[in-house]
Amino acid sequence: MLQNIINFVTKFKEYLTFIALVILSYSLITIGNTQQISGFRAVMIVMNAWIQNSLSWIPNPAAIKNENKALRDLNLQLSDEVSKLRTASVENERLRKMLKFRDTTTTDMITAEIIGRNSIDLKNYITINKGSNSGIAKGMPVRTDAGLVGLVIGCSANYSLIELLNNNTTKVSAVIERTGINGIFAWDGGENFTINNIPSSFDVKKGDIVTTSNYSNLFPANIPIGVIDKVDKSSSTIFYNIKIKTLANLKTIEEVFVIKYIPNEERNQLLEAIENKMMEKRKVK
Amino acid sequence: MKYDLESNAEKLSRKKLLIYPLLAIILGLTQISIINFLEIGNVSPNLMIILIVWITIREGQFVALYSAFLIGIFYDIIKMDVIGTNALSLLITAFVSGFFYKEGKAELIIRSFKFLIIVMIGAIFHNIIYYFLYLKISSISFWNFFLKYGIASSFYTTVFSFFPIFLSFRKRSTHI
Repeated sequence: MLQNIINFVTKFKEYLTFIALVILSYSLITIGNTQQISGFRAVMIVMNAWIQNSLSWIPNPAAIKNENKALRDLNLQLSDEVSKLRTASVENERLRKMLKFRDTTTTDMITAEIIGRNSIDLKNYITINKGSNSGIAKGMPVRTDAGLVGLVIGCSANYSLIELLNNNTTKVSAVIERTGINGIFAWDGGENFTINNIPSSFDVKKGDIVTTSNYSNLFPANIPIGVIDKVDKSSSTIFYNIKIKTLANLKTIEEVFVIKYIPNEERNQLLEAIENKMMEKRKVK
Repeated sequence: MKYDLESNAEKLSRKKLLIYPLLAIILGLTQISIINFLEIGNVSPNLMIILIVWITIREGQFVALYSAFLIGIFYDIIKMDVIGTNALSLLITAFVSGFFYKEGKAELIIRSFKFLIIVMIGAIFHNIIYYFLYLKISSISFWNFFLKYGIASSFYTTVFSFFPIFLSFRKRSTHI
C-alpha cells in the first residue's frame, strides 16, 4: 500500500507539486499584502530610486516629444488664461472684500520632484525625491497645481512611491462640480478615465469639472480631478458612458505636491471591518 | 573517477543555486527600473517569463515549478503587486513550458526557434492568468484588455527571448 502511494507520488510529482503551489499562491493572493514585507519593499523603493536616479541622464525621446506637445498646448492655454485671470483677480479682490471671505488655501503641502517613472504591466507609478524624513507618509494624496495625480503607497526615508490615477485599482469617490452628482472615478484602461453609475436622466455636460467628493476617505474634498470630454447615452443601459481627461497631465508631470492629509483612521477601520464581514458572508454562501 | 564526476555535478548544482537567484534579482531590478525605457505604447517585455522558460528548458518541469513560485513571490514584492499573483502566473508558465523539456537537449532547444515558440506560449498563458487576476478587481473588460496589451506584451517578450539564443550561440563559439 505504502509502496503504491510512493510510486504514485513519484510518478505524478510534477502535477502534485503544481497543484500544491497553485493552492499556496491562491492562498497568498487571498491573504493580500502583509505588513511584514513593508520593510523589504521600502528597501526596494530606495534601490529602484537609486538606479533610476543614476540613469536619469538617458534621454527618453517619447517622453520629450510628449512633453513638447503638452508644453505647446499649455502655453497656448496659459496665455488665454492670463488675460482671463487679470480680470478675475480684480473681481476676486472685490468679492473677497465684500464677503469677508477668508483665504482657504491653508492646506499643508510638501513639494517634491519626480525622479523616476515606472510602468509595470500597465500599473503606473512615479518615484519622488522626498520621503518620511520630509513628513510624507503612506496614504497621503498627491496633486499638481492642475489637479489630482495619485496616492503615496510606500515611502522610505528619502523617497516615496506614488500610485498614479491610471491604475486599475485606483478608484476615487468624485463629484461633478456643476451639478453635485456623485460617482466613482476610475481608469478605463486606455487613454481616458470614466465616472461610473450616473443615470442618463441626470444633467451631465461636456466640459463639466470633476472633483473629489466629501464621501472619499482617501482624498480631501474639492481637489480637481478632470474635465468631462465625452458623454454618451447608450440605449442598452440606463447609465451614461462618460469619458474624462485628467487636469494634471500624468505623462509629463515633473513636480508634485504631497498633501499632508491622512485619512481618518477610525473611518478606515470601520470600512475595513464592514468589508471583512461582507467577505466572510460571501465565503459562507 | 566516479568520485570526480560526482563532485563536478555537485559543484555544478551549487553554481546553479547561486546563478538562478542572482539572475532573478538582476532581471527583477532591470524589469522594474530600466525596462520602461524600452516601453512601446504602454507595452514592455517581461524578462521574468524568459528566465522561467530558460530554467524550465534547462532543469525540467519539477525544478522550474519551485523556481517559478519563489521568483514570482520575489517579483511580487519588488513590483508592489498583490503577493501571489506573479507567483501563480509564472507557475503556470513553468508548468506549460515544462511539457517542452527534453532531457539532454536543453542547449539544442535554446539555440533553435523552438525556444521562441515556447516563450510565446508561456507568455500567453502567463498574461491570461495575470490579467485575469489583475482585472478581476476592476471594471475593465478582460478580453479587450488582454487582446490589446496581453498579446502585444507576449510578442514583445518573445522578441526579447532572442537574447538567450544569441548568448547561447556566443557561449558555443567561445568554447570552439
